[in-house]
Amino acid sequence: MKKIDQYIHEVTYRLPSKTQADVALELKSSIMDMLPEDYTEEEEKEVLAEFGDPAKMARQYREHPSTLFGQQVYDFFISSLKAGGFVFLVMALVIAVTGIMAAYTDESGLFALITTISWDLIGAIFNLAAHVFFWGMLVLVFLEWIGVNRDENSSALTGKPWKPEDLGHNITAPVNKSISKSAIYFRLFWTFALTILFITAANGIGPDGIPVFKEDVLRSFLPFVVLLVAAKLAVIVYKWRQRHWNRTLAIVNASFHFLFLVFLILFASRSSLFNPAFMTYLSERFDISISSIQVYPYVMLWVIVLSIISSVVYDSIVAFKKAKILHY
Amino acid sequence: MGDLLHSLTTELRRGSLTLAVLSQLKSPQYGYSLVQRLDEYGMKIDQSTLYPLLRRLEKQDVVSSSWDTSESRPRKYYVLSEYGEEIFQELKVIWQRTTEDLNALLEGEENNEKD
Repeated sequence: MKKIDQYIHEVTYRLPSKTQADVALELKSSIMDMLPEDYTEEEEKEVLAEFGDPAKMARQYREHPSTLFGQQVYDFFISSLKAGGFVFLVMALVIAVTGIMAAYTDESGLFALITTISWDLIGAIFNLAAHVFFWGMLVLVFLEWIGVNRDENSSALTGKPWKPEDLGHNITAPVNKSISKSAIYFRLFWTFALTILFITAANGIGPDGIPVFKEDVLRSFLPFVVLLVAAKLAVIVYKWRQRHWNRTLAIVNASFHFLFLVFLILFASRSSLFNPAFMTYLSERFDISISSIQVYPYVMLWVIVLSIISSVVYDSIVAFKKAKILHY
Repeated sequence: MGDLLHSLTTELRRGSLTLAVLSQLKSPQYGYSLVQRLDEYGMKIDQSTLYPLLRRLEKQDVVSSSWDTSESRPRKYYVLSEYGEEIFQELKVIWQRTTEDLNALLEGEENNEKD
């Protein structure tokens, strides 16, 4: 059964989302039609072999062939783009934020800093997209030119015909609707780790006994932190009981993430977040004037905040996608 | 030679597959029943060709489809639409004319050889 679902996923993820569910259902019922009531793994493999390479099947469904490149090369390009897209995004964030460090002058305030970050971020994303596209194209043209396998029934990369054993070796593993226990433990661990980190910081812990943050500012956030932790624990318990992503759970998850992001942005936007003594300490330690060192903790903070924002947004979207998966 | 022959055969069959499929869709059929019916007449069709072909025909309004969920396993049934019926009849005539012409050509060639 697992192989059949993997096979169907291999076909449908290559198709436009509006046809995916219907194609999946039809393929499922057609494959089951060919199998006896209690089938063995061998029989399952035979039937899948008869259905053939899922990539080829998807190409037949798609109708509008790519004319610029061979279909196999094109398929490979698209699936790598999908897999790499998120990595590129995070890279763009980091590039944008580190770019600020050079541009910052202490006359402009924090607001100006954030605006610059946003603009640089958009610029960096465009820049990166253009690079990826250009170099990707170049690689494709090269692959075409050296003449990778253009046989319809073989993989462009290995040149070998597809066989059912290939299922599950793909970069695009099927997304799973169920919530694993380890994922829940991981969330629990992070919730406690971050809470402890916050409480430690609020109690004035820092290098050489100099608190990093202003304790009173951090303490003013404490009630919100308690509320957030409570909400997060409730979400985790709810996940634990559901065990599968569904629409309600995805909405609950996204709402919590939204609250968390509001808190995070409010927190990071406080201009008087860092302890002036800590700034002095940094300035002496690295021998940089206090006016220029001031920006570094903020840049660090915003790198972290932006990475959290991107991963949280990603997590919310994936949850909705998983909720939409039908039980094939 | 084997490879070339194979690809030429595939090409030759590709056009006739649509006609073969349409001919069996006067009564509603689901995917696997269609495969079996065609198989009875010695017409092998790849699964990876059939299902996309059916979907394409549906998009072109030649066939219409419906899900039958009354049994334990849901099945998608395809049947010729009115428009599809017209298309099928005309395509059939063209096919018959083409095969006659082609047969005449092939016989002519055999006669040439005898001369």
